[in-house]
Amino acid sequence: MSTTAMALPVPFLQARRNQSAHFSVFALLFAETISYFQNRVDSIAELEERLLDLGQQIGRRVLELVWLREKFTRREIDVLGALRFTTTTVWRFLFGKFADSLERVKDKENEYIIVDNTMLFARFISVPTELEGLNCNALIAGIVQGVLTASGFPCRVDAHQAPPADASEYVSRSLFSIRFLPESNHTF
Amino acid sequence: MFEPSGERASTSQSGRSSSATSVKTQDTLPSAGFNVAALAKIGEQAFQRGELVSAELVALTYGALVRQLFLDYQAPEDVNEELERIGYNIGLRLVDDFLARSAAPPCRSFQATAEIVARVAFRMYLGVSARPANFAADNTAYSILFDTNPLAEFVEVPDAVANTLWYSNIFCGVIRGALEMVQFSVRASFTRDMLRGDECNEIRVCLLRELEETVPLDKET
Repeated sequence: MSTTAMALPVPFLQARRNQSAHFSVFALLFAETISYFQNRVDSIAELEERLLDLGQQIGRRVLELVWLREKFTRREIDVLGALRFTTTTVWRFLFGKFADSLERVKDKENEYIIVDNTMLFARFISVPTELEGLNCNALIAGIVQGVLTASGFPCRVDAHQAPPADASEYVSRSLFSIRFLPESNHTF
Repeated sequence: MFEPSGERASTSQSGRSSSATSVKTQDTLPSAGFNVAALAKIGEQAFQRGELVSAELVALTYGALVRQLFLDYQAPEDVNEELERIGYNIGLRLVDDFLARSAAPPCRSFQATAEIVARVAFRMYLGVSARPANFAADNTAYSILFDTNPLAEFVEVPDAVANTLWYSNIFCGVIRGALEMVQFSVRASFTRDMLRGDECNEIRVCLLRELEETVPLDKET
């Protein structure tokens, strides 16, 4: 067991970076994941919490993988660096593009918002009326939280929806608000 | 009056099949009269045409789901069953997507589904090649073999459940769900899995019965 594990890593992982799957597969898997949880929770908040937890499991592993693939030599040591890394490299790994913007919340030391205008991952999810207000991007928020926490910056990420910036756009914008916990302010 | 799209798709699909089976009885080849290379090409084109996501994201999401099932169910047998159920739900919907986008020739017999599922669907959705094999003499069962399993990427199954858990059991559900929508009631199960050290992955698909088509009830009268 250990010998095979030792033999695999780097060249193997890097050689296979172009693997892709059809979007429908992911969309349906995502939908089934949500409906699996839906039958096991009592409230919308709890459902979002479960999705967030699941996302964190994914996020931790995403970070490991991105590190192996993209930048072996560097680790981010401040909050801003980690956020930039998340919105560019990690975002590209997950969605094939960069996040649209990274903003800092006014008057708040350690709160940031990642904006994505075309987050279409939840587009095939039709939320039933009794779950009005459920935001399926909670899973993505969980991934972001997992990535940042695993990079050494514990935080809490929430997903929100906002009306499109441009009236001609149809899809609403996705916001991910990130609140870093005090212990992530490393000072040197 | 309109049926859900799944019903419509399967009706038209099998409508064609029932009229065509009488014409195409000379097919006894395992490829069910299909040009294998052409099918692979159809699959590849559908794959290229489709919107793609990182297979690793899918693998990690699936892995997180399996892990969650383990936390909820404990027993590997129950996890297998639940994965199969989840897959079944996916298969019911995926078949619509497949018929709409793949441009694959209709499945005119149970044998033909083997070719379509293995050579077109696997290629189109996961970007991997699979091949049908081990057809039963009476054409009521076949196996689908594939060497690369994107879902099992990065996976190591703990020893304690290595011989009871079928990690990728969701495939079986998907196949069962999808074939049911084209009027074949089947039972699918893994018989070999590379995670268990076998040389390839094998899913055995057994035909239980062909579903009869019924005229939909007219709810307006």
